[in-house]
Amino acid sequence: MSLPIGLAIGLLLGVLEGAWRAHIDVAPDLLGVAIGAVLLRAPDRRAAGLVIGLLLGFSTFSADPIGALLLGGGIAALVLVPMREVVFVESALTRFLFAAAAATLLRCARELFAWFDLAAALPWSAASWNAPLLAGLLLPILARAGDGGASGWRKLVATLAAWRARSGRSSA
Amino acid sequence: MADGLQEPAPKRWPAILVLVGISGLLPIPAIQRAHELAEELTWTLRGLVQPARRSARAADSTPPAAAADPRVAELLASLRQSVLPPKARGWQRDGRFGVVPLGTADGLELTLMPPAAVAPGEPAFYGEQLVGFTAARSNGSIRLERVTKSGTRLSACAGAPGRREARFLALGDGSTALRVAYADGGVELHEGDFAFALDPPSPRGGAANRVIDAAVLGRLVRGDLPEGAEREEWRIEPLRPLERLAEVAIRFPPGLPLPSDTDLYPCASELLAHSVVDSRRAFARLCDGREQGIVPGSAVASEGYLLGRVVRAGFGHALVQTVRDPGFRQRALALVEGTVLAFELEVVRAHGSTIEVRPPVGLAWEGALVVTAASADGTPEGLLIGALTEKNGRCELVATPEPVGRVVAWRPAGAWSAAP
Repeated sequence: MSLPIGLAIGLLLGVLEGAWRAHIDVAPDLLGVAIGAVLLRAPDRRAAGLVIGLLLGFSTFSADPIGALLLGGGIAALVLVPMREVVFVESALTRFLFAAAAATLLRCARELFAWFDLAAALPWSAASWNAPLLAGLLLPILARAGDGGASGWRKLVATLAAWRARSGRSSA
Repeated sequence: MADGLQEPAPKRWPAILVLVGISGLLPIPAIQRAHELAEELTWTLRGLVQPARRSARAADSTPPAAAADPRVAELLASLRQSVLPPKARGWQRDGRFGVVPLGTADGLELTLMPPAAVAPGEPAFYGEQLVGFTAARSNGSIRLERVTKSGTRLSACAGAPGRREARFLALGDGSTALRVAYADGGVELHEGDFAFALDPPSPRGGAANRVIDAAVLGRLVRGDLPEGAEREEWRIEPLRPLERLAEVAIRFPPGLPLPSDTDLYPCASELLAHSVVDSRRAFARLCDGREQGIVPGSAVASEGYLLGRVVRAGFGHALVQTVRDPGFRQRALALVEGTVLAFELEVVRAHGSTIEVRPPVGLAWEGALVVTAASADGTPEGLLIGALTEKNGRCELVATPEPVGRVVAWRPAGAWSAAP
């Protein structure tokens, strides 16, 4: 089930990034953010399905061969999964590193394909680092916002339950 | 030992993902096809999320009957006359000569040729010059083997007919010029003399076998032997460099259609911008796909100009790499100084209306008109790509319209091509 979910999220991320870039040229690599976020969790079968789905879904918005994305995602997983054992996954710095590294490794894989003449060779410039760095910055922000949202939701649910209990008592 | 203290099992999926990705680098057709299939399936899924709909105007427009601008077609036809061997030479056996474009990376594949259509060993000409012979590949396709290929052995002559005529063997050794061997003793060879290929003697009692019939091989030049060498070496330099030929003339058996008779079918469609997320790339989305017979390789044109080529075709839409995309490659013909020369057009970068391309090697390209070379995948011949011009020492391509709006996609003959 995680593969179709990953596929749908990958397609959605492509739509989002496309809409973002249609207005502002500088944008984070949303695929890097998503892969970094998945790899921060337990690297089980569900994570595998999500990562593969994300890569396949996002590949439809990429001009590069599908193999380049799968290779980049695989290398990111190969490097970052063992790193979970030695870092504190809840820290903002770790989140930054995971997303930035995933985005960079995806680019490195496409460069490898370009080296073999299977993708267009694009020049590297200072601006080439924008997307991986922005991806690194976005993941801690999203995680903090997500944590805040989750705790707020829990508080809301608890308050509603308390209100219901109070109104039940008063009606009785 | 307690379960919680056991070492976790190693995760294999990242390594499998890496292997699948690396397999995309392997030049194995079955693996490449599997990757393409995965790309097309996911691309079709994108069409469900983000449908590509044609506007009513694009749907109602009628595609043109001919791909190329009539002026370009006329220019190409006039230039082609020099490729066909002269009729007076007697090379016209059964059948007729036709001009065949040379395609693919090594430039020697005879494109638009049905497998086994032409017998192996047929001579190929460029005007009066013999440039090679046809050869069959293991997959049945036909390729051209240059006359200078290692192992070629031809009877030849040079000099002035009747007065100073030397006969010899012209041997191919893999270099760009043929080697003269076993020349008649006592006949002087002169630098610059034309060398002609001769047919082997006809079998006793058999019909005269005039296949090559004194076709020009090239001019005699002195070989570069070391200083003080006691003997002379002669070579035959082809009149035109065989590496840069765009097309050759070969004899077609009776009933076999010429490449110019092979049709591609037009399909009126529309191009949409913003198809990929990378702002450095220039791709567009075509509002028709495989259901209309559009396949990877189909050319997308507007008013006789090439806008791009389909690289991924799914159901309902296709991804088009436009001429402005860095890395765009197209087998093209440069029409310059009354000749047609084939080269691989490669876009290096594009800024606004400026498209920088890799300059063609060994060609005076300034002012050359660049048009598409025909390909059976779906590229008609003669679509205008632009003109080459030099700016700040760089080779630039000018005059291509913006790749959006109503377009025509050219599709190869197939089950779905007849659909409007």
